[in-house]
Parts: sequence; structure tokens; C-alpha cells
Amino acid sequence: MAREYDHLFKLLIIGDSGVGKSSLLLRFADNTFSGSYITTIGVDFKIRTVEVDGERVKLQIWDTAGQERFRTITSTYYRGTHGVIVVYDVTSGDSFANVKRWLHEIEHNCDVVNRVLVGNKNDAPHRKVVLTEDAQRFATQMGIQLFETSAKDNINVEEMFMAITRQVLRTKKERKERQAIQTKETVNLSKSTKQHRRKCC
Amino acid sequence: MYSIKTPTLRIDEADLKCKNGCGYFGNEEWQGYCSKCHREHLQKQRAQREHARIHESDSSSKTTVHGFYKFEEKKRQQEKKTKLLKLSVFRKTATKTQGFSEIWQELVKDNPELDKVKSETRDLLVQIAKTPAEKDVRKCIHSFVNNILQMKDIKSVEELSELTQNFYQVFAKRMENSPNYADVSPETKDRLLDYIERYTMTLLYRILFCPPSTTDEDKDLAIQNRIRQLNWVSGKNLECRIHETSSDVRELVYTSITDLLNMDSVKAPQEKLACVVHCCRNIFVLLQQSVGGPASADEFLPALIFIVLKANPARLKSNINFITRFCNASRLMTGEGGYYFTNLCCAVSFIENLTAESLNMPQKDFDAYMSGARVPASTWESALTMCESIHLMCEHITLLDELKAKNLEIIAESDELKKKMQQFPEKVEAEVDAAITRTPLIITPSQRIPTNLDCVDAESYQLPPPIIPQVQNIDIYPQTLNDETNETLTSHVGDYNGPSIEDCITPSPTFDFPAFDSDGGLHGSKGDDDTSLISLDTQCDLTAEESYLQDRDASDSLLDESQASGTNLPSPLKPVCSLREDYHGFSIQGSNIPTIPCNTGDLSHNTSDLEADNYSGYFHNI
Repeated sequence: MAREYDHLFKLLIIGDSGVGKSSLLLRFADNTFSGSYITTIGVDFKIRTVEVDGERVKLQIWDTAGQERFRTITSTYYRGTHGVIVVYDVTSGDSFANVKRWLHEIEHNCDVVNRVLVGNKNDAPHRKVVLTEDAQRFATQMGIQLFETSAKDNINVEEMFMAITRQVLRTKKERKERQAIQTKETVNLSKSTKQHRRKCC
Repeated sequence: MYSIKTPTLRIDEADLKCKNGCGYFGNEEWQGYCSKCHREHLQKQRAQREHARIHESDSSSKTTVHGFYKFEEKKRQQEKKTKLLKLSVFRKTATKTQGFSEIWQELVKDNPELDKVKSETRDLLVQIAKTPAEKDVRKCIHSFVNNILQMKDIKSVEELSELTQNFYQVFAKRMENSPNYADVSPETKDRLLDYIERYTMTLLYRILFCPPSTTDEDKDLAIQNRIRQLNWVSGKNLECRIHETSSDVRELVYTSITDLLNMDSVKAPQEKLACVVHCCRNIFVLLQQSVGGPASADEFLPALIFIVLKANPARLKSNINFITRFCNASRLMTGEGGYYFTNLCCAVSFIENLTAESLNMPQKDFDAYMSGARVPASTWESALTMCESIHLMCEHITLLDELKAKNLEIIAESDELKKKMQQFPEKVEAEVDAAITRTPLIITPSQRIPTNLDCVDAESYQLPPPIIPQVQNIDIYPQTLNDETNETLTSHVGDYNGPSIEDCITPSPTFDFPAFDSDGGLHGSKGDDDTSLISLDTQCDLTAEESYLQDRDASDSLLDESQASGTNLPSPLKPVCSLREDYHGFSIQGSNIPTIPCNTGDLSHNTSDLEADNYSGYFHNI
């Protein structure tokens, strides 16, 4: 396919209200040279093409409303999602406590999805409530990669997005390989069904 | 479909015959009927169902919207409803008996949208005209439409949706692999995929949109009533920051509402999706204007909910379901359209499940609003936006308010300026006073310097006594010779021979007197204050010689004392020598001295005249 990208991934940013989801998105999309992304609209929905291991990956990043009252309906967003970025605020213990609920929701809505945990607003050490060690322990326990970022000071934002992209890309390749093996087996099956159909008619 | 059938080896012939007993073979797919009997059976069933529904809606005496595909365009004209619906049942049964090709003919006929699709994609069609691709596209569309027409009464809408999605996928793959499309560019392939979706869906719209076998219609009604009940919900309840009083924002609210309403009038799923995208983009623009910065999803979703509540789009659920079922799934899962459509679904689902909690209000208030027992002020606000003239008035009021605010600002600023202006002279005065209290320290010595000079001057006036002895100079010369060297003596002598007499004359009070007299005369007419320092001094010197002597005593400088003492010196010659040089300096300074009175004097032109007099006097004398 002669397109401007090799892969197209949909990423979802979730987390409590006010943890800085939109800021992260804005930082990631606006902090690079202008040619690589399209700023058609507001913050909510951004497209950026990045290059990972020589492959052009087009990222479509969906922002979600984090308010509690919208939590019940967010499941609709998960359709066709490749990766989810769960954001909490390092200066808010509540937002970190809610991470578990968000992760649970992901499990509930998607079968296999890549996740990354992001502690945002990591720019004021004196206001930091969620310790890195605690977050790291939790992340390892859940088997997720942890990033502490600051959208304000542009710390770790790019790295975090690249990490999730790489993760998604790896998963896609693994799945492809598995599918390739499966199709070898299914070829015979489909042949047999075709024969079966002919008998019927 | 054949896979469902389980092949059995031994079947009685009776089992294979039509259940109706018409003699033809039956089919399990058709519930054991032959194809003809099965169709009749289905029609009968549907007719019964629809009759039942009509009666239901009649008995409930509600204004209902029916999703009859023959009447989509007229759905909103609910008055005609029942009679025509009954008629439509018969008409439909009539069409049913026709073949697929006839149905197709009917679908193509009187379908302006289809012509529109064709005309809009003419360049694409021209591009692929007379290529194997065109033939293949036609073939695919034909087989798909036939397939759908065949299945429409048999399969559920979900199965039809699956069939459609499969068709999209298969066609996409076919374009990738088939040699027919080898020389077609990827962009054209994308456009072709879009075209077949648009074309088939516009064609089959009557069959696939809100099919009678579904409950879409009831859901439409339910959500419509729900939104109507919730018309009291305002932007404040949803915590969305829409600046309702701004006319620009209001205009955008209208535009987004129109976009959303437009969704029902277009047919193809991607066109419907485009309406949603337009609506949402407008919401973003209005949010940017209201918030003053890029808006995030936290603000967008409440705003979208607000717009949906205000728009109350017709057949909202049917439209959403149609898009979900028949729009290319890859489009829905990704892309801008997908994002906004997902948000719309969320908004609708939020509206459906809206509770007091989700609006952050007490249950009691919520119930009161819902039952209509209480009408919030915001309803009046929303009513305002509906009435154009009041809307205009509202705008004017806001404009006046703004002007008033500006006016007040200007008044406040002018007051401030006035105060500043009043303060300014006071400040200047205070500064001047301060400067005056500070400056005497500077002025007094400057006053003294002239007095000192005047002292010297005065002394020179005092000098006449030593000048008089100058006549006796020759007698004293030998005395000075003893004190000084020969060289200096000769030079002195040389000097003395020429100008000594003139120099000696210059300090003589006689030349100054007329000038000072004229000064004094003029000053006398203008008051004593105007008199210049020098004139004062000289006057003092001239008029009161006793006070002058006191002044001389008061002066601290050693020079003065020495000079004073010098005057008392027995030998008059030495002071003459020193004086001679002083006179030169004095004569130069003397021209400067009159400038001081002119600065301090009020009437500068007069004094300058005087100055000129003085100068002329001086120069004349020199």
C-alpha cells in the first residue's frame, strides 16, 4: 500500500477529570515539527505520524471526558482501540486510587489491549503525593510500564507515547505471526467447507 | 446459509415437500415452505404485526413516528399517519410479489439522491470508465444489492449488517488482489470503496433504514420523549461552559443544531457521519470562543449533550443504528468521524440514563423538573433563544450592557485622570517648595561670591585713596625694586609705561557712577526688589560706606582680610601691582556680572537694555 503510513493505531487516553489528559495530548501533538500532524480541531482528537523502527505509524489519539458521571458511557470509546494510556495525577492521591478502576474498565471492555500508566504533573516535587516507588510497585504488579511525565515542562511525554506505540506495534506483529500460522491450518478447513457446499447445492 | 443446514441422509419425501402442501419442495431455510409459500407466509406475519402496532399506537393516542420505509420522508407529517399506513401495507404487499429486478427498478426510480451520488462522483466514474475495474464494480454492486434484496425479509437486520460489512471487506480485498484493479491508484481505490458504500446504501436506504423488523422506531420515540422531558436542562446543569449571551456563540449553537438535524435528511452513512463531524467541529469552535483556548473532551462531551438536548433530532436512534450497522466499520472505529460518532453515542446514552446524580442536583429537584411541577429559569432562557425577536433584543441588551460597562470604565478613568490632574500642580508645588527649601544653600554662597567680588570691587572703589597716591608712584618705585628681581621689574616697568595709566583709570569710580546712577534711577521706578545684586551691592557700597566696611569685616576670606589689610598697608604700591592683574580679570568678569541681575530680575527686557547700556559703558571705557 502506497500510503503515507504503514500502520494506523488508535490510542485512548483515560483517567480522572483534571489529571491532564488533554494537556498530554496537546503537548505530544503540538511539540513537534508541524508537518507530522494535522491540527484540524481542538484537543480531543489528534493525529500524529511517528516513525518507529523505520516504520511510519499513524497515531489517532482519542481524548475522553474524565468526569465521574461519564464513566458509565465511556465503554463505547474502547471499540477498536489498540492502546490505552491511563493517566493519574502525581499530586492527587485520589486519581491514583482510581487507576485500579480504570484498569478494571479496560479489562472489561477490551480483550487484548496495550496499556501504559502515566503519572502526570510530575514537575513540582514539593506537591508530589504519589511516590514513584509506590506507583512502580503497583505498575509491576499489574504488568504495566510506568511513566512519570509533565505536560507542562515536557518531561517524558514523547518517550511515553513512543513506548506505547512500540508496544502496540509489537503486539500487532505478534498477532500477525500467530494468524499466519493459523491460516495455514484454516486453509484446509475452508477447502473442506467449500466441498461440503457443493454437495448441498 | 447452507452451513446452518445439517445434512441428513435419510429424509422422507414428505419432509422435503412444502408444509403448505402445494406440491413443491420445501426448504428448511424457509421454515419448511417452498419459496413462494414462505414469502406469502412472511408477508402475512408482517401485516399482522404492523396492524397490531398501529392499533397499539392508536389506543395510546400518542403522536408516534413510524419507521415505514415507504414513508420516511413523510414521517414528520404525523397527521396523515394511520390511514396512509394501512394503505402502505397493501402497497408493500403488492411490491413484494414483484421480482428483485422490479424492486430494484423501483428503488432506482424517483431517487434523486442516487442521481446526486452519481453526479458527485462523476469524475471518479469517468476515470474508471471502460476499464475492467468499472465492470467489476458494477458486478459487485449488482450482486450485493441482489443479495440484500433477497435476504431483506429473511434475515434480521444484524445479519444484513454483517453481510454489508462483509461486502465492504471483500470488496476492499478484491481491489487489492484482483488484476482488474491493478492499474488503479490507492486513492481511487479508497474513493471506489467510498463510492460503493454510498451508492448501495443510498439505493437500499428504504429497505435498510429503520427496518420494520426492528424496534428502532420505538426507541426513536422513547428518546424523543425523553429529550422533550429534559428540555429544562441547561448548560449550567451540565457544567458546560457555553457563553450563551454571546451572539457569535449562539450562532454557532444554531449551526451545530442544524448540522445535527441534517443527519436525518441525508442518506448514505458517510454523509450522516459528515453531519455529525460538522456539528462537533462547530461545537469545538464555540467552545474555543467560550472558554478562550483549546477545548478538551471534558468540555466537549457536556457541550455535545447540550446540543443534542436542544436539537432533539428526528429519528435519532434509527440514524445512529443505521450508521452503526451499515457504515464501513473501519471508518467508525478510527478517524475523526468515528471519534465524534462515538461521542454522539455516548451523549445519547447519557441522556437515556440521565439521573439527578449525573446532573449534580438533589433527587427532589430533579423529580420536580421532570414532572413539570417546577420550571427553572433556564427554560425561559432557552425559550428566549427560540424566539427570534426576543433573541435579537437579548443581543441588544447584552450590547447595551457591554457599552454600559465600557462607559463606566471610561467615567472611572476620566475621574482618575481628573484627580491626577488636580494632584499634579500640588505635587509640582510641593516639589518646588522642597526644591526652594533645598536650594537656598546653593543660592546663598552664589550670593556671597558676587558680594565677595563686590568686596573686591568695593575695595577697588575704596581704592581711590591708594590711586591718588599713584601720582606719587615714582617716589615709591625704588622701594619695590628692593623686593623684586630685575627682570620682573623691567617687565613691570614696561607694562607700566603703557597701559598703567589707563588701568589705573578703569577702577576709578567715576566711570561707574553714571551707569549706576541710571540703574538706580530705573530701579527706583520698578521697586527695590528688582535691583540687581551688583547694583545693590554697588549701591550699598556707594550709598553707605559704613555698612560697606562692616560687610567687608564680615567676609571670611583671608584674601579679603589681607586686601583689607592691604588697604591699610603703609606702602600703597604693592596693592597696585596686584590690583592691576585683578582689574584685567575684573574687567572681563565685569561684563559677566550684569547677567546676574538679568536672571533674577522680572523685567528681563528692561534689564537687558540696561545691560546693553552697561556693556556699552564698559566697552566704551575699555
